[in-house]
Amino acid sequence: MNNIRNERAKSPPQLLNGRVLVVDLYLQKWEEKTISGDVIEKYLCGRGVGAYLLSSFSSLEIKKGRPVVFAPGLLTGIIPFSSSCLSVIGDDNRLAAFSFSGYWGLELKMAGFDYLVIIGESTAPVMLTIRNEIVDLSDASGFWDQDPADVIPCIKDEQGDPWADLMLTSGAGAPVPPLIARSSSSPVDRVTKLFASKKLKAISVRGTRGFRISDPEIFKKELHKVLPVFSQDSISHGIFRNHSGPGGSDRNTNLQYTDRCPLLPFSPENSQIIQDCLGLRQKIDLNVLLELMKSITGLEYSGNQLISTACRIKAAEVLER
Amino acid sequence: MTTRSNLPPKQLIIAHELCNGCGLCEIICSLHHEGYINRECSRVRISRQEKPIPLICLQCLEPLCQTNCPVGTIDRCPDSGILIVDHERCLSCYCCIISCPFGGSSEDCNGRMIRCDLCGGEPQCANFCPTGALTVSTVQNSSNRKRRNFAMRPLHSGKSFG
Repeated sequence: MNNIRNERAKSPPQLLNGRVLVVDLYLQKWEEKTISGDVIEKYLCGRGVGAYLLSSFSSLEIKKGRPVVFAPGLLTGIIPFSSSCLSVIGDDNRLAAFSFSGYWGLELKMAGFDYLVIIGESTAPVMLTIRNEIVDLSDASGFWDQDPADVIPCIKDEQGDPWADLMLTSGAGAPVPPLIARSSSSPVDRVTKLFASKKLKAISVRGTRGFRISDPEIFKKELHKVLPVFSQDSISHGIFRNHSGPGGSDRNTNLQYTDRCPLLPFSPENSQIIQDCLGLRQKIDLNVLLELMKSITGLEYSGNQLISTACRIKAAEVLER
Repeated sequence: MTTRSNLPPKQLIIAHELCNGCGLCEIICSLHHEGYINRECSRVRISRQEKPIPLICLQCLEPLCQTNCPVGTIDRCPDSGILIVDHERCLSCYCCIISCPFGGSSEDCNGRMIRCDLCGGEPQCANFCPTGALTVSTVQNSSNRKRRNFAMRPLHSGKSFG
């Protein structure tokens, strides 16, 4: 594993550079793809681009196993307590999107990738490690059956990086972030089976490159208007909500699910989609939100465009075979 | 000899019990100093163990980092009293990082030693802390506030002490 310090000298890229890391567990190789700016404009990020990528990859002949997409939201890592999205294809040929919080999505962005796609199934238990632009698939047979609470310190010690953010499966192969795995149940059965079949034990991500936003001064000015929103929440690793099925379990009682209140003036369904695209979990005034998005991406958005995006994503989530 | 009059008149005061780990201070700090978002380049770092706690340079009266710097790059600005690093002469030897018992010094993403410089007197992170965990005040005011809060507790909780 190369020294991560050597990677720091590079200039940080602009946010949303469209870089997709595609990891094929069957062929044990990885490659980098790029999606164009107009895809990001049409689908935003997070759940939207997750749906787009899944529909792109589902049509390919992939040796065993369905694709899984990890997509941080547009605001992930930029505003506090943001979330990322995990998209999978369900048995009913519809996409299922799960949002989870913590720092994993931020680390992926800091590593220089906007999205992670995992395809294929490994023949033996593996662990995926991403360190800036260095990607490694290593054997995980030694700790495949171990509980994440025991595995986390071992992996961090072995990699010599206590700041890495890990997404782990539990001893039963259930793909849950560590906090949920230390508790008891999680209703994410489809994702559980999918990760167990892929034999993917852990994904460890660490990024140090950072990223640029379009207009830092406007960003700071707009952020100041919504500061009180962030005073109530708290970091909660492993909050896992299933949007396509029963509600996920939340083990952090400090968290206020403000996204249960729709993002006005959108309908609850559209509001949920947009919030998953942005990685937003708080209720923020729409005008401030649009200004924040513009200061980050440099693109103008309007309420109507967001509604169109939500409708486009809903259509994309029904795959045509 | 450094006296209290050499210190910055106001300092960044941390009320760690109010910190909720939002990380806005890290974002704003790196944006202000570097022009991009990178926690690695932030002068304030949040320790995210059981309880999030912001860690910064505490502008000690007798800084160990200054004492142990082999080339004397750490000095106090004569106008503001803030401890600053001369990056031209800094060797990146890590002596200041090793010496500091509070984790106040760190290495940024470019290998430079960085520390909180109070943004020249108006710390940006304090403007963006949503819970008030980071405030700009004098040490005396901060002590007075804590004394007042502690003294008020028995009146509300009904418990006595002493």
